[in-house]
Amino acid sequence: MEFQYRYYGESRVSNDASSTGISFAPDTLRKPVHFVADINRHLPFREAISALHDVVVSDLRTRQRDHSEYQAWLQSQEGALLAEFMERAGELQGQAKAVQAQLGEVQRRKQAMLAPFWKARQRYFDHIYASDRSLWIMLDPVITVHPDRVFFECFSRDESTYASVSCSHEAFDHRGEFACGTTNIDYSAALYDEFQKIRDYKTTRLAVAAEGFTVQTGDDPGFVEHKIDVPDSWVRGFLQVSAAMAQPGHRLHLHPMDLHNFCLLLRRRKEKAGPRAIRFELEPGKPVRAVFEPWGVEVVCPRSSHTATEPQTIRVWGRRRLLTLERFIALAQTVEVHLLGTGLPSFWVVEGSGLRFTLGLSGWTANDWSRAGQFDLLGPRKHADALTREKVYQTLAQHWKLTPTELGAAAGLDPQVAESCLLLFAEAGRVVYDLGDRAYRLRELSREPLPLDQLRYGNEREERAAGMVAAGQVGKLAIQAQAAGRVIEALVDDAGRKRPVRLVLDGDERLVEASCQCDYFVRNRLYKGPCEHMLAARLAAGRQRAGQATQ
Amino acid sequence: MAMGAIALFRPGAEPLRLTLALSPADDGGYWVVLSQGAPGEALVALHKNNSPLPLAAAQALLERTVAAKLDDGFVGLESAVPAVDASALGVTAAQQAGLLSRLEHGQWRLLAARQRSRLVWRVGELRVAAAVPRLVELLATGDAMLDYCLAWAIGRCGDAGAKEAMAGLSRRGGSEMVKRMALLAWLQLASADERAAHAARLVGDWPLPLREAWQAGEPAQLARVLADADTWQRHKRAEWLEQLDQVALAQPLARQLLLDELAQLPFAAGSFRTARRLYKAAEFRGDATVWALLQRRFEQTGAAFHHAYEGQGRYLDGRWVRISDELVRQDSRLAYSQRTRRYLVQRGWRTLRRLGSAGSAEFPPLAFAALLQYDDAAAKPDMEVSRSVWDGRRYQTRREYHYRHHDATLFNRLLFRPGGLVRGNRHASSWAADQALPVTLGARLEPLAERWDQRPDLLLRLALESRAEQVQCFAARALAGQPAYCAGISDTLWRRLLNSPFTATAQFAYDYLFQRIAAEPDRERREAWLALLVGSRHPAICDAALALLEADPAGHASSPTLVTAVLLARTARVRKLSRLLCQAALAMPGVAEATVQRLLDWLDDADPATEALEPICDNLAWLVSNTFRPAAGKVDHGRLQGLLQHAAVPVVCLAMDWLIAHEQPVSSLPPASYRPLLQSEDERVLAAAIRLLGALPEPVLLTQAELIARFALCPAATVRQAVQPLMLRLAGLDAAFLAGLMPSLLDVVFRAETIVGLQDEVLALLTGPLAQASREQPYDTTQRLLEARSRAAQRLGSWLLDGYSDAELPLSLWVRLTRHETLAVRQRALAMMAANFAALGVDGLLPALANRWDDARGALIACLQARVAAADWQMAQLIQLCDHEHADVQALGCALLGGRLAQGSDTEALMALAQHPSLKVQRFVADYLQHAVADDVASLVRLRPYFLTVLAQVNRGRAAKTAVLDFLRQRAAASEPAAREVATLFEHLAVTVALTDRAQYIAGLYDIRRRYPAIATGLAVHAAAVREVA
Repeated sequence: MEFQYRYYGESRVSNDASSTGISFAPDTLRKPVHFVADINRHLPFREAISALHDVVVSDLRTRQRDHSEYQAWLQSQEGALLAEFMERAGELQGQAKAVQAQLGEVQRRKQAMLAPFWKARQRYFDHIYASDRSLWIMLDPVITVHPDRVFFECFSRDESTYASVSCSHEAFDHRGEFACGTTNIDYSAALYDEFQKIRDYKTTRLAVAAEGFTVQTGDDPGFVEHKIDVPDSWVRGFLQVSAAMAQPGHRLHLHPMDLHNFCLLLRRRKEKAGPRAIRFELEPGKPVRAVFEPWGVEVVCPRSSHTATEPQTIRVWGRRRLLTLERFIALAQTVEVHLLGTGLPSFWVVEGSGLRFTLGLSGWTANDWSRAGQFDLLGPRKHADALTREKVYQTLAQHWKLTPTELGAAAGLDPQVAESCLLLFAEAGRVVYDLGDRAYRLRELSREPLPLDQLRYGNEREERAAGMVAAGQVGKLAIQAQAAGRVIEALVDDAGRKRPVRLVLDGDERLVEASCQCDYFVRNRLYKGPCEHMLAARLAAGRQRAGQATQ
Repeated sequence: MAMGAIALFRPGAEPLRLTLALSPADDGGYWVVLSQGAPGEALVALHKNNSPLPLAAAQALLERTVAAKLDDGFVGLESAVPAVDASALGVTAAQQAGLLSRLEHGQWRLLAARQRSRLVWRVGELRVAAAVPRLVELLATGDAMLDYCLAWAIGRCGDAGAKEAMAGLSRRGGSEMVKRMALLAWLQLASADERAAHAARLVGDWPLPLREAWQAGEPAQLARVLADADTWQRHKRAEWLEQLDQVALAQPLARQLLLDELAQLPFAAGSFRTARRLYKAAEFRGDATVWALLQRRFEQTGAAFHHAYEGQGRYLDGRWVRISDELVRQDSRLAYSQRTRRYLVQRGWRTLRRLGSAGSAEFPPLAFAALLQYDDAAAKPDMEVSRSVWDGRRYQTRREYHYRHHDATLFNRLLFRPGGLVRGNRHASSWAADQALPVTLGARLEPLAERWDQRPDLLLRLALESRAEQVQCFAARALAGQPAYCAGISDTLWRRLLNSPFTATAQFAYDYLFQRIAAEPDRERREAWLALLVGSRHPAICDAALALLEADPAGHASSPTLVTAVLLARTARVRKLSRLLCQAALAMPGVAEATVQRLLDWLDDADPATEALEPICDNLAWLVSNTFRPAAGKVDHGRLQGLLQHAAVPVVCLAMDWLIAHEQPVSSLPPASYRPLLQSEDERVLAAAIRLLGALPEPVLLTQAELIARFALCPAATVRQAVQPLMLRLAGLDAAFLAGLMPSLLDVVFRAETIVGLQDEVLALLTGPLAQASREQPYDTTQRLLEARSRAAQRLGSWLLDGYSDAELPLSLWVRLTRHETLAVRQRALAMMAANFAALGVDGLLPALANRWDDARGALIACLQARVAAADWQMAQLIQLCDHEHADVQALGCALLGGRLAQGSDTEALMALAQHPSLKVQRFVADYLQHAVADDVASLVRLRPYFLTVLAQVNRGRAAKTAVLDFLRQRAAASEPAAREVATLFEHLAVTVALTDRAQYIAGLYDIRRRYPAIATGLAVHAAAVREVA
C-alpha cells in the first residue's frame, strides 16, 4: 500500500561548538503537531535515538549468497582440476605447474596494476553506500506528542522489529506550548551522524515545528513529497506487533547486565544449525534461566524475577535482534520482558534516565510462509457496535492516555467492553498499548484509516483457514511433542468433506513435512505454501497451546 | 452522432481500416470525422476540417477525401454487384432451338418425370424467354416438382405475360414449395407498382413497433426495435426475414437491412430453413450479392451436427429420434448437418459451372460477387504442413502448402483449373499446392477464362476492390491480356491500380503504363503517366520512374504536374530528386507558380492520416524558404493564414514557414491567428511558431524577454533549439533584453535538474555566447552559485570564480569554498587558507575541516600541523578536533591532546571527550585517566556514565575496559570515598556480568572489602571447606 507524506523542507540537525538543534519536519498532510524543548538528558537521548535508528535500518533476513565469482573461478580452474584426474596426470601436472606459475606471476602483476582501481572502486561503493543509506529506511518514523510523554516509533525493514523511544516531559527543559498528536517525521540516514554529536555540555533543542509551513520566506525550502510504496506484509507485521502488545503474557524483570550477558553470548558464538531460539525456563520462586539453543548454554539471571505461577518453558526466535539494544545497556536501569508464548511476539522494555525503549520482536525474523499460521493476532475478538467504539475513541482522544478501567469510568462503559474496543483500535493502528504505563494511548499510525480487511490476511487461504477455525471445522486435533518439534494432526471439515491433515514442525517451528488430501496440496505440494486445511490445523493448535499457557 | 459513415479498408501486409463520416457541430455546421486504425484495434478519430462547415461543403469535402483515400489504395467495404443485362445473356440460337424442340409435344411425351424437370430447369437457367408459352401450358400437371421447376423457369425467363399464371399458381399450387416459388416468379414478373403494393401489404402485417420504426426510416431506431424481444411476441423473426426479402425488391432500405441480417443469421433450427430459402431465391433472381454472401457463409460456418447414414438416431430432449424424421418436421430441432453444408457449397459451384459452360452472361457477376467475399486478413496465414499419404504400399510423408483460402471450395474452383497448380480432396473442401502459389503476372490459371474476358470491367473492379492476393493476381493476369480495354482506363483508376497494396496489380499497371510511356509521342501525356508512377507506394515502380526522370531532369521540370508529384511522393528516394527538379523548374516560366498553387490545393485536402505527410511538409518547408521562395512568396496570403487552422500539425508548421517566406511581412498577420500556436502543447507547432515569432520586427520582440525566456527553458528540446538563435540575436541587440533574460537562465541553474540536458544547455549559453553577461553578474550571485546545492550552479560558480582575484572575495567565503565540489576551486581556496593563515587563525580554519573531501582535509591538517605549535592550541579547539566526525581530524586532536594530558593539564577536555560515542575516543580517554583525572570522588562521579559505557561494551573495547578497571581499582585503593563509589559501580556489574570480567570485579570488590570493611560490597566470602586428611 502507498503512504504519502508532504514535508515542508527536510529534517535538520545543526551543530556548533555550544549547541545542537534537532529540527524534525512533520508531515504537513496530517493534523499539526508541535513540540519544541531543550533536552536535558543528552546522552540517554542520543543513545536511545541511535538504538531506534539501528532498528529502522535493521534487516536480518537471510540472503542468498552470490556464487557468480566462485563459479567463474571454478570455470577458469576447470582445466587444471580435470588434469588432476587424467591418466597422464604427472606429465600434465608438470605442465600445469609451469603454466600456473606463469599465471600466478601474471595475476600478481594484474593485482599490482589494478590495486589502485580496486581501492578507488571500493571507496566509490562506500560513498554510494553512505549516500544511498536513506533507502534503507522503509517508512518514516512516527512521532507522538502526549501531555506526559513524547515518543518515537518505527518498524524495521525486515518486517520483524518494532521499536519505540518514549521520553517523559521531565527529560526536557524550557518547554513552551505544545500541540498533541501524531505525525510522521522526515527522517534520513544523515541525521544519524548528526545525532552522534550530542553532548551534555551543548544545548540540544528538539523541535517538531509546525510554523515552518505557515510562513513563506525568500529561502523557501518548498514542500517535499514522499510517496512510499510499502508492502502489505510490512504493514500487517507492524499491526500484528502493535496488537500483540496488548495481549496478556508473562512478565520478566531482568537486570541490565543480564541483557548484556545475552548480547555477549550472541556476539561470541555463531549458530550453524537450528534451533536458534532462547528458551526461557520459568520456575516459580526461582530466577529466570535462559537457555541458548542449539549450544545449550544456560544463562542464569540471579537478580531477576518473573510472574509465572507454574513451571513454564517459552521459546522465542530471532534473538539477534536483541543486539539493537546494546547501546542502551549502559544507561538502563530496568529491563522488563513480556513473553506472550512460544513463537509469539516478545517485548523488551528498557528504562533509564527518564527514557523508555520498547523493542517488539515478532515470532521470527522472517515471517515467511513456512511460519504461516501466526496471523490471527489481527483476528476479530469481541464485537462492539460502532457507536460504542466511537464513544471509546472520543473519550480516549480527550485524555490521550487511559487504562481500560479509567476509560470505562470516563465513558460510562464496562471496562471489558472498553478494552475490547481498544483492542480493535490497536489492531487498526489507531491506538497503541504502552507497556510501561499499562495504558492505551491515542496514536494514529497513518493519516488515512488502514484497510484492515486487506491487511488482515496474507492470502485467501489464510482467510479461509481463519473462517474454518472460527466455525469449529477443525476436529480431532492432536498435538504430539517430539524430540525436536511436534506433530499436529487434525480432521478439517471443508464443505462436508473431511480432510485429514498432518503437519510436522521442527524445533524452530518450521513446517518441514505436511500432508493433506485436498486438490491444492496434490497439485502444488508445499511449493506455494501450505493449503488452508493445514493453516487451519496449525492455527487451531496454536490457539490450544495459547489457551493452555494462559490457564 | 455521425451520419453517412463510409467504411474503407486497405488490405495488404499492413491492413488499415478507415471510416469517414459527417458529425454535426454545436453551431449547426458539420465536422468531417476521419477515423483509422489497424483491424482489431480501436480507431483513432480526428477532424478533417479545422472548423465546422455547412452541410454541402462538408459533403463535398467528404467526397474529395473518399476519392483521395481510394487513390491511396483503400477499397470500399460494401461494393454493389452490377445487375445482369437479360438482353445480352450470350445463349446461342442453337442452344435455344434445341431446348425448345425438346419441349414440343412429341419429344416431351417421351421424357421421364425427372428428365422433364431437368429440361425445364435448364430452360430457366439459360432464360429462354421463347419457351414461356409452352411452359405455361405445362403447368398444373399435378407433379409438384415439375410445377416448382416451371415456376422457377418462368420467373427467370422474364415474360410478363405469364404473370397471371404465376399469381394463380401462388394461390392454388399443390404444395407450399410450389406456391412459394410461384410467388417469387410473380414478383419477378410484376411491375414496380405491383411489387410496391405487395411490399406494403407485407409491412402492414408486421408487429406495430417494427412497423412504426420502419415508417420512421431511422436505422438506429430500427436496430433497437429489432433487438427488442417484445417486438417478436407472436411473430417469428425468420419468417419476417423472408418477407423482408420480398419487400427489398421495392424498398432500398430493406435491402441493406436484409444483408445485415443475413450476415449474422444463425444456421440453427428455426432460422436455417429461412437462410436456405433466401439462398435459393437469390439464385433464382441472379441476386449475386445475397447469393455470394450466403455461399461464403456456408463455406465458413461449420455444420451443426453430423449426419452419417440413413436411419441415424440422435438423442434430443431426453429421447432418441431419427434424424431424417426430425429434419422434415416444421418445428424441427435439427438443422444444417455436414451433408447439407456440403450440398450447398457444391451447389454454388455447380450453378456457376453450368452457367459458365453454357456461356451465360450471368456467370461473371456471380463469380465476381463470390470472389469479392474473400479477405486475406480474415484467413489463416500460409503454412507448410506434412501429411502421410498411402501410396499403395506404404505411407509416405508429403509436404504440402496450405495457402490462404485453401479450405474455400468456390475460391479454388474459380481461380484454379483442374489438374493445375492445386489439388483438392474428395469433397473439394480442402485444397493444397506443392509449393507457394505465384503472386506474379504470367500465364492464367483459372477455368472459364473466356467468360471472364467478356467482362473486363469486372476484372478491373476485382483488381480495385478485392482483398485477396490470389484474386488480385488472377484479375491482373486477366487484365494484362485485355490491352484494348486497358486503353480506356482513366488516369484516376491507373493511380489506384499503381497504389494497390498488392504487388501483382501494381506491377500490371506499371507494365502497361511503362509500355505506353515508351510508345506515347505526346509529351504532356507521358508526363502525366510518369507523375502517376512516381506517386506509387511500391519502391520498384518508383525506382523505375526515377530512372526515367534522372535521364532528363531538366526536360521533366517543365511539367508542374510532374514536379508536384515528385514533391508529394510517398517515397523518400523520389522526394530527394525534387530539389534538383525544382532548381531546374525555376528556369521554366510559370512552372514554379503553377506548382505552388497545386501544392496549396493538396495541402487543403491533406489530413493527419495522409501517408508520409511530415517528411513531405518538411521538404516543402525547405522549398518555399529557398528554391521556390519567389513564387511561394506571392501566393494568396489568406490561404496560408487559413492553413494555420489546419487539422494536421505538419501542415500548420509548413504554413508558418511559408508565411515567413511570404513577401507580405509577418507583422501584417493578425496576432490572434498565431497567438494560440504559441501556446500549443505540440512541440513541433511551438518550434514553428517561434520561427514565425522571430520574423516579427525586432522592436516588438525586444519587449518579449519573458516569453522568449520561457521558450528557451521549455521542456521540449526542439523548442529550445528553435528559440536559441532568436534569443542570442536579440541579446546581442539590446542590453535591457539581456538583463531581463539572465535571471530566468540563472534560476534554472540554481534549481534541481528536472529536464535532462537543460542545465547543460543553459551552462553552455552562459559560459559561451552570454559569457560577458554572466561575468557582469554581481558578486552576490557568484557567491550564491558557489554555495548552491545544484551541481550546475557550482559549475557556473567555479567558472565565474576565475574572473575574480583572490582579494575580491572575503576570507570567510574562501573557508567555505574548501568544501566545494570542484577540485580547482578547493585547491584555490586551500591556497588562500595557507596564504591568509595569520588573518584567519585556528578558529577561522576549523570550520573548513568539516569537509567530505579527503584532499582538502589532508591539506588543512598539514597546514595546521605546520603552522600551529602544540602549545598554542586552546582546549576548546582540541575538543572540537577530538569530537570531529572524521577519523583523521580526530586523530590529530587526540595526538595533540594526548601530549597535554600526559602532562596533567587540560583535564576538562578529557571530561568532554568521555561523552564521545566512538570506541576509539573512549580508548583514548581510558589511556589518560591516570594522568588527567583529579584525585577526588567528584571526578569519578562525573565520569560514571563513561565508566558504565566502557564496561558495558559487549565483546569489544577490551583494552579500554582493562585500563578503566585498573584505574578504578587504583582509586579504590587510594581513598575510602573513592572505594565507595567504585564498589557501587562494581556491584552493579559484577554479579551477573560474563565470566571474562567477573574475576576482576570480584577481586576489586574483595580488595575494597579487605581495605574498608565498613563499605557494603554485597560480597559474601565463605571460607573454603578444609578436607580432613586421614
